[in-house]
Amino acid sequence: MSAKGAGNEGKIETVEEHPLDHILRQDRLPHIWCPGCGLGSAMTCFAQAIERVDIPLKKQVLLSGIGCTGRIAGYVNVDSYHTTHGRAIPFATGLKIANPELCVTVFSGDGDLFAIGGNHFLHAARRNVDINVICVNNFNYGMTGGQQGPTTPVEAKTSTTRYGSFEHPFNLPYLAAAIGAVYVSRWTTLHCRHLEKSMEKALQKKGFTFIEIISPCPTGFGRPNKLGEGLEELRYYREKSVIKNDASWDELELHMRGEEPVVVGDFVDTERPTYLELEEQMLRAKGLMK
Amino acid sequence: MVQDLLTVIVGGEAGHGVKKSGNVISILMNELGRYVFEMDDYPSLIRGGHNFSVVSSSTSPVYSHYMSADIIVCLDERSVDMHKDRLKDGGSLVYNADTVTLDSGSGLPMKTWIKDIKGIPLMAGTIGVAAVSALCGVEFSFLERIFRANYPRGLEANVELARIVYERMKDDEGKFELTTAETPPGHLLAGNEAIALGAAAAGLDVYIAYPMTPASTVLHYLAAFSKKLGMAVVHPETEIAVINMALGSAYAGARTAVGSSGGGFALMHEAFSLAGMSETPLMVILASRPGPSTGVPTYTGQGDLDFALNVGHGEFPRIVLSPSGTNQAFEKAAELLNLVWKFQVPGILLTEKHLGESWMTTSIDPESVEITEPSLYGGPLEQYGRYEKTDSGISPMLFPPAKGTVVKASSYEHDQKGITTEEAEKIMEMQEKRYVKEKAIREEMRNLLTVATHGEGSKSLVTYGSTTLSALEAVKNVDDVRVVQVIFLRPFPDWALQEALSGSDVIVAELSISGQFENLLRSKGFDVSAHIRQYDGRAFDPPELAARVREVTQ
Repeated sequence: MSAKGAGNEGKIETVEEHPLDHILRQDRLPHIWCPGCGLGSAMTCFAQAIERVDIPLKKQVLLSGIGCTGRIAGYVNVDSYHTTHGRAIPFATGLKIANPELCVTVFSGDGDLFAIGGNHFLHAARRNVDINVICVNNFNYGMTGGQQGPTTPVEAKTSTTRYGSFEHPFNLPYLAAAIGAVYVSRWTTLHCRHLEKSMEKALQKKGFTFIEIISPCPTGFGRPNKLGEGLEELRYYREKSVIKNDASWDELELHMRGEEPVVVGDFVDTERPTYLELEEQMLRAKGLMK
Repeated sequence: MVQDLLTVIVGGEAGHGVKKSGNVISILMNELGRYVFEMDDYPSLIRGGHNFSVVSSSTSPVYSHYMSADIIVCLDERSVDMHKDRLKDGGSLVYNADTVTLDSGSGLPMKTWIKDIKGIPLMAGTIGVAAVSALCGVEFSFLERIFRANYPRGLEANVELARIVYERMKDDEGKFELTTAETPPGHLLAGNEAIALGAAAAGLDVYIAYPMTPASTVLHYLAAFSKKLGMAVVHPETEIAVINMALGSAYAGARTAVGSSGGGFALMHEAFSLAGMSETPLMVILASRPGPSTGVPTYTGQGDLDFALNVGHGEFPRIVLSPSGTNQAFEKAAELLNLVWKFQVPGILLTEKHLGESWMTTSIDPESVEITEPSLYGGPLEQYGRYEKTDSGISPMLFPPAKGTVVKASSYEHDQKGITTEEAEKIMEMQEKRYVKEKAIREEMRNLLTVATHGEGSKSLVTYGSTTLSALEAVKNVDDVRVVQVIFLRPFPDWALQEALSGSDVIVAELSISGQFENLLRSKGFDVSAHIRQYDGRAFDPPELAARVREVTQ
């Protein structure tokens, strides 16, 4: 992060040190994501959040599955494990059980978390395992060639839905809330400040938290759906997004076409004993644990 | 008639306490100072199927059960039809006279007696145990002591039933005069329990599994004792979750094992390969049943050998070993857990229903197990790389949260720091680093029991896994044949096998139609002069196996 910062009129300003230099691996940057992709912003927000929260950096562990988002784990200078496709959540559960002191976050994409890994998401949320799941939703499989995914909106074009998708997509906040996530929010990569705050909240919250980040994917989604390049896709989000914390569940469906808004906000913030807490409570009550 | 080897079969309808009766008979025999082998035969049904238990016992070790019996207890009519031909000359048939009439044997009105004391159908099993005890001339007070320990619920009713049985069978009391010893020769343990205890003794911290017969009893056993053993036991949503959770747990430094049968383990392949790539230590218990697919869930077979040896895409070292009986299962489970941590590889303990769910008189000493600590990093932290190159290929470990550095691991090919790479040189470097670990494992194996020779003889009956048990029992009645058991299957201990065989004729016995084990031996350059194969879901019956060995060696 130390070298480049784009100025307004082609002017390049050089700064000696960026406050997040120690969190992002300088030897790995610049990153491999496409111009206009939202992953850089999402990663920066996360870097800011782990820097700000009152949890030692050393306790942060970042896990990912496979896909564009999966690459984040490699860039962040914390303990990390880049698992196989769809399996970061069970890995995270095992890690948390083996060492409950760790602050465990899964950072992955919509295809990884909700298609191949969907079942794991359900069960980790149901158990209320104390982990954070951050899903970057770009409505398609970006890395593998822009195919349809479980969040692709109806009528959206992808490399496998040339005439438009005719599958109902997941309403992710609704899903997460329904199966027991204690904290659920959604932002676009344009809502940097909100997103950062949500991440801070999620990191500090006990239990299964879920943040959906709506991110532009100019290559896989923006272009075939005529949303334009990254900036234009962001502009589209800005025009369409509405902050509504008390939105009803059906309002959270994403259409990504016509006049339908993209509703963002903090939707759930509740308490429920975590997987390990409930075990401990029960064992104590039965006198099996002192 | 004084008798050393005694076999009892108890049969009845599922849900009528057959397995429990078999178990109590085993305990009774063990308490009488006799070695026991108990095989439970049950179909994959909840109610209505036919269950039976076979208990063979003797004052010297009994390695496997016999299918011809001295005493057969039939709790229902079907048992009579199924088992009466298995009765040896001079044997005793005990049956339920309320449901069947025969002109020989001891007919006991089981239903009536149970009704008279207002008991429950499960008590038919108690009657069976008492009948066996009476026929063997066991003092009533001795039996009462066994009952006290094993039927805590409804004890008085059970003791009363036993008294009625003893009274009725007084003429036959002591028909079988058993040899006994002052003290029990060991504890009764099922194979899966021995495996679980072996892993626990070697410091297992976490066990994760999704139920699948015949591996489930490892999960049940560890779940029951998890607090005593200080272990976390988890049953997640799928086998895929199982193995990925296990890798997460091992990444944190916790000694972790998973268990399943063929179908469940098939779902774990991808992550098994991840364990190979990320060099995450992992112990897998693979308990076989006959396949393919769902196959025959509650029976035994050895059709998963090739599967166990070759599981996982890509090339990486792994260890596969297979124990015979409970004593060895305990030792080898402990050894495998130590080895996977020493070499940071996945390892498979391959077993079968015949070991996992059979009960054997066992002598183990948890104190004898030493826990081998993995190689830990002690160098300058800023230089730490999870995949640092070393001569042995073993990179010193650190676990998160490691102060002063980061621990990066990946499913992608990576550099020494654990960062994804696609550079030709680095790919080669890592492939070679992993590959040389196999050499280090082979070196280590030279100090371990990799091939076991049992008995003497100029010909070798070569086996692996629980088929070794059938073979050990069979050769008691065959001249000039020793049993050679290959314990480590990958890396293959060719040097040790060569020494054990020393040019003798090789007869291979296995529970596989295609002869996977024989093919393995041949592929390693060993000549096989004859083979004996069985693939009906049952272990070899020792006398039958003995006859087949005689046939091929003549």
